[in-house]
Amino acid sequence: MEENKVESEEEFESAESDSEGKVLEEQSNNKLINNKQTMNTDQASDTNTSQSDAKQTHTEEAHTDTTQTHTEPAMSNAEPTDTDTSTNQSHTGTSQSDPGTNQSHAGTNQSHTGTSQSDPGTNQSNTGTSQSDPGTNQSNTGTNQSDTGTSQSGTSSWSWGWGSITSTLSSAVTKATEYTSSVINKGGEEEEEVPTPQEMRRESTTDEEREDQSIGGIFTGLATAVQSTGASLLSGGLDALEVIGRKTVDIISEGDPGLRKKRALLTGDTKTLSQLLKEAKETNNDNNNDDNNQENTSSLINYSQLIEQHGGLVHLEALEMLSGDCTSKLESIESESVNDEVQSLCQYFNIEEEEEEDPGDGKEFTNISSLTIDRVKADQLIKCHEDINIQAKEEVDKDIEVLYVESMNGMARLCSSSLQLFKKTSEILLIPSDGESIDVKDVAMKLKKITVIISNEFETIASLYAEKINEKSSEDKGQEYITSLYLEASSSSSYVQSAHKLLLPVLQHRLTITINNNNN
Amino acid sequence: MSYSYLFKYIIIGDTGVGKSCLLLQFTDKRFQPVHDLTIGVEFGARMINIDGKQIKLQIWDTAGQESFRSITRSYYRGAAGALLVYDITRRETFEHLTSWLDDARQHSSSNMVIMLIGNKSDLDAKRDVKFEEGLAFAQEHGLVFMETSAKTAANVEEAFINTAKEVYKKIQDGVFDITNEANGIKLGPQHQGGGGGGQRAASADPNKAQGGGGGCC
Repeated sequence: MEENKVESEEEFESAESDSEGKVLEEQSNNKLINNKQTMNTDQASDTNTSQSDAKQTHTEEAHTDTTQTHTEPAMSNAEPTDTDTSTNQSHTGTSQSDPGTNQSHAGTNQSHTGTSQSDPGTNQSNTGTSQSDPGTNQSNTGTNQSDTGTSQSGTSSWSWGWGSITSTLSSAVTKATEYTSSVINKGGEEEEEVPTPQEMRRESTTDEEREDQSIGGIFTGLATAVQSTGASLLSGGLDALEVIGRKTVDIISEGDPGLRKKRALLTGDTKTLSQLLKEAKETNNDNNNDDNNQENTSSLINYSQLIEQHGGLVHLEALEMLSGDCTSKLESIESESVNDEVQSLCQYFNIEEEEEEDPGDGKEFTNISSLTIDRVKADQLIKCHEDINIQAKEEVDKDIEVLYVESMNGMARLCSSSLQLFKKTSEILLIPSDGESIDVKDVAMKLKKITVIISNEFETIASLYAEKINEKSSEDKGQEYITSLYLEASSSSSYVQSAHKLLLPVLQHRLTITINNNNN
Repeated sequence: MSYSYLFKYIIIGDTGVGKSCLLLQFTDKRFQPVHDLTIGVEFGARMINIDGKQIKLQIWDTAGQESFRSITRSYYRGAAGALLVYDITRRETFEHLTSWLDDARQHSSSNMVIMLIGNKSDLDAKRDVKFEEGLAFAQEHGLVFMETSAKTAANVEEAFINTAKEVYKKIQDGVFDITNEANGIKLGPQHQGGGGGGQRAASADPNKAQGGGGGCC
């Protein structure tokens, strides 16, 4: 593990310096250089900095993104914080370098438990710094507004929930989320091409082979890739955000069918998706509690908490356990022909963008009941979908708060129900069959269809409610709700698609059983 | 609702001994005489209070049918407590205890608290396993023992809460490493980030707390 870490750092740095060069070239931004100098001084006085090099390059990187898109260095609020409290504290008051210290190095530095505990405090200390410093303070509130002219305070800060997550994976995700908010803000204004996963990959990793040994490297590389493309994305539309999410999944699963290697590594020291969700939820709780005590102005809903309330989290956890066990069973396959068969299932687990762009008319949702395997009923999911639609179409005058809460609850319920469906499907698939055969490929195809239908539905729900909220209020609060709604719709799709991917090892395992039965 | 700890429980035992009914009685305080067969695992949750601390019990109610055995084994991992249930009116469910116990020991943390439960104590007339036998088995294997009735709710609260007390005691004694989630214990939100309280007072931007759910891979 130690070795891996070191490697991932190296990779991280090399990837960073690549994009650094590019960025500097493109930008020729004097501010950057100034910032670097400030950082140097700071780090010299910082005894706790274990990775001064990586940090330094990273600082510039982050800063570049910021300057390119916003007028001020706003990363102090948009970045997850470093886990080292004293690092941040030692920078208090230095306006230029502050944004740089709040790096999401979490992944490279400490990817283990326990570190999250100091995070909330760290977040705050940064905010405190911002307050005492006019320059940074401006960046807290002005981030995205410089573009749109509206004053939606804090839309740039959406990545806070992930602040405490200390794995590299989350660092990648955070960055995606972070740009998300900006993208949404500018949604639909102009389209810009999103780099292909291959391009992103080239940028982020120098040595393909190394990936297999170093999970940290992959994710850090991802973080960099997402980050470095972030700047260009900011001017993109809402679609771009979705594309990023999907590409991220693609990159992670590329060349590693069933995510076997990665999953094996993930089940080791690093955290699983459900753990990440839990932590996100708890950090949010924590921050919300604080804020409520103080100003009681935070009206945005903690979505990960809603997912837990509706039982989604625990279903996901169970699914992860099953999937993990199947993954380890698959590792013992020796026969090449069986292995080929098993690998062939992967094709059903890549969801293309085009398929998702299909606008769902809501009617196809009921088709899900014909797509589930025997003994798995989609009744609950379909009922949930109906309820949401009935509620959304009620001709009752509702406040925007009511609409917002209603929509978020609906999505969380639908999301949890979907996770439950996938979990149940896995369980049924794993019941030892007595001669009864399951057409695994057919199941795989149907599962993919289900995933696409559900994924699309979140956006449909978000649009439905966004329109309603928009009709009632074009003020900041309404816009804030709408942005939140779209963000969580996208999160929901991500959860469902992640859960779908967890089914791959389950189906693969099922297939090996079928093959073995036939051979005997 | 916020809590200090979250304990993961798992309920195991032969099919039809009343696992799901025990859970329903504990979480909803009601009894359902005819219960669907559990497929895989179902979940329940309830908040309890021990020593002035709010504890959330997250209960994994597993299928008892033999065909699900290999699946439910996947779920033992990370449980802090287990309720091992048999039916006092069906001797074979008592006789299968050893096999369940082996599974539990093999697939979970050695610190897991196991509560042996002889359910359906309301059906004393049909009793097939004596209280003393249950007690002897428990003592022999180092388990806590109780007879319950999911129907009358007798001892149901106690079974769940006493297990939690045992877990809590192990935490106090330092047996459980609460920072290791593999033990089935998770700190609640108010325990997280306790160190930063002072600095937190500087919070200015309420919206930063939002979001979080962002895309996952």
